[in-house]
Amino acid sequence: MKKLSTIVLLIIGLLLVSQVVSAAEANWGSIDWMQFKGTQLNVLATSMPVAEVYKSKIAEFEKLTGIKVNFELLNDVDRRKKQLVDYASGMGEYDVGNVGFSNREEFAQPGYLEPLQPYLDDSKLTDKTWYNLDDYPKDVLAAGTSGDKLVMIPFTAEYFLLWYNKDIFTQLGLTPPKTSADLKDVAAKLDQARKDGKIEQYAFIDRTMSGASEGGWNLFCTAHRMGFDFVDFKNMVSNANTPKGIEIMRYYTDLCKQYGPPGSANWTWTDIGAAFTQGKLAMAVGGNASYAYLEDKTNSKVAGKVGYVPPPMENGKDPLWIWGWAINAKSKNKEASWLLVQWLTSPNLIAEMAPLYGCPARKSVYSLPEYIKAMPSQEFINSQLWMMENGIDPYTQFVLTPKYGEVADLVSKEMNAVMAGIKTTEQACQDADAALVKIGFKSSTP
Amino acid sequence: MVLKHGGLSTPMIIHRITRDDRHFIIWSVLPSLLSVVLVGGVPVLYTFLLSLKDYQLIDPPGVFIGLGNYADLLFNNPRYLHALLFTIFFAGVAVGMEIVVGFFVAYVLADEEVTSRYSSIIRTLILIPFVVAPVVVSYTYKTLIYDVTFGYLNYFLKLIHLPVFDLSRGMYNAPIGILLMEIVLRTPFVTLILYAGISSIDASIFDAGAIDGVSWWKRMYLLTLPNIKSIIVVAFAFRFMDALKMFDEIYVVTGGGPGYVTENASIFAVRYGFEYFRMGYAAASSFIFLMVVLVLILSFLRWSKFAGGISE
Repeated sequence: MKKLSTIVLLIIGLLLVSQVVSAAEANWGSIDWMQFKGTQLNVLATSMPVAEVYKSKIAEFEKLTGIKVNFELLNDVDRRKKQLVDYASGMGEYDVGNVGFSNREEFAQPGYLEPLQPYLDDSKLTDKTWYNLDDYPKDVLAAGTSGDKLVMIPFTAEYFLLWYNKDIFTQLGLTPPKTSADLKDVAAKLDQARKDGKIEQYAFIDRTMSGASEGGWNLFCTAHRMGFDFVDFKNMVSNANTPKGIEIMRYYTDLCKQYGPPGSANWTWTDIGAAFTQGKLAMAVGGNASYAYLEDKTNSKVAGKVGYVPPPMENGKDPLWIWGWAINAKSKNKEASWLLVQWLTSPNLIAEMAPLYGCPARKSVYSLPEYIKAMPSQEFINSQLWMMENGIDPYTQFVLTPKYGEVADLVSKEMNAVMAGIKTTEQACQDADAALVKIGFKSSTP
Repeated sequence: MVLKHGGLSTPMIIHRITRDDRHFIIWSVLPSLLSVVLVGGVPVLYTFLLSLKDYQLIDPPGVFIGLGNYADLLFNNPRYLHALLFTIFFAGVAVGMEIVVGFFVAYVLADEEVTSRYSSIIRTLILIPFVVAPVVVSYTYKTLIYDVTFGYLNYFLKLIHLPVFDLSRGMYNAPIGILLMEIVLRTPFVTLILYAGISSIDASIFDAGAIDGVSWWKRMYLLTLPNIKSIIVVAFAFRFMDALKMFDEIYVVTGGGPGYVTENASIFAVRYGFEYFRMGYAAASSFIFLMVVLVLILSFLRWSKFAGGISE
């Protein structure tokens, strides 16, 4: 009996010790996380892998704070529409939402997003030393700032990388392209190899379906990497029908038409991702966050064979894309919402989650052994670090302009018409210019 | 006010309405009337008021501009006029073909021998499109039938050494692809209505025709068609209204492309409203479209002398 009670006491003692240890491990700073216990928050997020991870973790926040969170996921198009309708109506239905970089100004300029600096400066709400905002690269944090107001805290830092099939490049003795001219040369060599029966893969494809978040996005980013913008939003000038505009439109559509798989004149990211993972493509330009999809051994035939290098660029940089968490200016629970935003972007949670999605916004994470172990290759990490330091432009005009959606849709519709063979490149650029003039831009072509 | 009851064979009886009757009538009708006003009237009124503003979700508040949106759409936006014409033309062609195909299928089905032998199989086949959501059918067509690499259509075309059918190339492939899909998806509805109509024709008419030695073609042209004319008009009107507001199929299969080729009025309104966030402009485009649909349908019904029949 005495022996039994000793064992029971020992077990209780071990449990207590483990509780103390885990509490010490989970350092959440010095604020009272329970100060808004009983509050209910509604969150709207884009349905994407990182948001799924967040959703799975939300019970931990509820346990830490006593705040109940309804975490709703929608596809990105509907998420944006629903947020905008909620913001514009002033209903304050959703307290917290994820906001894409390109949505920042369209939400911030009308005053829909709550400025976050006052919450950061309030010692009752934020332990600044623990939260460590300096961990964010300067350009990444700048992407969450509208004017002089911090309106969202980034949790991802995304940009394009060139994906290439390493086996094919080794087989043919090719090196990944660094400039747009290189890309065309390498694509031509790959295409010849396919025609000669040496490989089965098509050389290259980019997004060709019209739409601001499909072909429009990739076309504008390609142009920006080549030091050109189809539209000067600052001065409201259309450059679509300039010689450079025509040259880049031709470059983009020729690459896709000449080297893309059959039937790819209306492809989205999904189509490209599927073709790449099925081993039908030798190269594509895609987001760094997509590595998990390419490296998923259950679905991808090229898992472990994909190389990642910075995308071809000259005279320009790749527009940075971030996802951030923001608070609805009409929320009735702003302080509790800040606790949630702080938790979602905390050093603890980002470090814990980063190995699962690969492109964290906090720089300290990139040197953590757990993160390095989870990534596909050192080449992938190096390419990301190079991009963070040298390859991203957080001030790209077109990404930050509310009019971007309409402008990119109009220009990409013309790109899509060239792909379909309905229009020549010259006609498409002329029509894109006319469409932009109609919505208030001046043409830079006399 | 009096209520009149009676038919041809019974003498007319006139009741005077009491106050209780009046209350009963008012309270009985009120819920339906309210729901019609709330569900139909209020949104239409709101859309009209919105259409008079330059209201952009990304640049609130809206500014009253009168008929500015209407003028721009009708006189300064060829994209809208193209969408409007494409909508009407596409709906007319699609429904016309559905009526022709649907009639022939219904005519064959109404044959006594065919019905007695294959009725259960035929009914099942006809009902399939009703139980599958149009968006699912659209995805199926896009990926399993029309896709250049994986689609069955192109697989068979390649087998017999014909050029592939690529929806995303050229001016005509996309509209033709959607048209074929629409006919397969919607013809069963027309068939069902016309089948019911043909089945309800008095058999003695056909017996008389048979005695007079009327050919198959003449029986169809002189006996069947005149007897189901009003049913064809109803089927056409219903389908035409439905086809005018087609959205799912185009959105999924082509997204309105290539370029603007398959952009119809619904896609146009959604794009301006929820992608460009120009709500006033989108509302005006919807309101013009509503007027066009009303004019077209009423003209069609008047032409077919059907409107009078309803109002009597």
